[in-house]
Amino acid sequence: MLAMGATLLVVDDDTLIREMVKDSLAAGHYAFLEASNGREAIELIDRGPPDAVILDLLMPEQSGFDTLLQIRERAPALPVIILSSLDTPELVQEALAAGASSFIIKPFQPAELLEAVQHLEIQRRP
Amino acid sequence: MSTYWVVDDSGRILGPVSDSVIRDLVTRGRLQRLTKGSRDGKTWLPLAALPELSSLTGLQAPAPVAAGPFGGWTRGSDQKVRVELAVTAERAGIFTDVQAASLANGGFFLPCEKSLPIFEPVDVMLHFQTPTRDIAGAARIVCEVNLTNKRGVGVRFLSLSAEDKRFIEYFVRRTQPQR
Repeated sequence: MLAMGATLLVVDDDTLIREMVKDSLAAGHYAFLEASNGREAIELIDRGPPDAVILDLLMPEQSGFDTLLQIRERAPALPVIILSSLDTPELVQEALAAGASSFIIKPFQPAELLEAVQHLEIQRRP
Repeated sequence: MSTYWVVDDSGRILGPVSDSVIRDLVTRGRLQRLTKGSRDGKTWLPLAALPELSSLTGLQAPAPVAAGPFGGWTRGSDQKVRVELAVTAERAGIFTDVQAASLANGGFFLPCEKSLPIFEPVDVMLHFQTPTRDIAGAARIVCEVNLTNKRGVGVRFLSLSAEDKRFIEYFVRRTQPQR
């Protein structure tokens, strides 16, 4: 698991979803940053990149895809998990091609999200 | 292949994605009530001004059940009772207000003028709004409710998945922080 205190940025315009994500990952003892749209997320990343980002695709102000591209420009190695209720295979492929580390479809099982986050750590190990 | 950005009536944006992705999402009801579109993510046009996207509106799945008179049930031609509710924040009390049919007991209070027999089987569809989620399941009538300010029946799901129950718990907790 990621070390205690590792920071995850949760980006979703729905407060409830952000709460569910945090609760789902409670066993990991992570620290969380929250953003309700892509612009807020980029501002937080510019202040200091988190260890990973959990990002919704459908958000106000700017899309999750556009946010993902901006994240890639700023922090190419920063892992990003897409968490979305939009789920066509082509969309999943486009998200992964745009640099997403993994794609989780809402509604999700808490264990599924925790496993995805844990897998990120494995990917980042040298 | 053309790519587009689209906006729904909540102002949420998706893009850039291909027209085929949009069509797929709309057809399956995953993406609803589109209002605007863009070919570059900067210049936004009413959907009607983008014929290739506006043609999709005819494919859109029915909108969630509108707010209005809340509750009630219908009996289909197969004699099966059906309940379809749009659950908004203001209506979250259906899961807490009547103990015998509360979420803690795997159920909810169904306001209705005409009662139903206890143990009557019911097909339930709950359309949660903000966040959007549909929960469907088989249920039974478990009690009559005839209080000064509440008239209806208590309904309990025969089986409610842990995930669905958890979602409803979050929904109630968020919408009724004073409780």
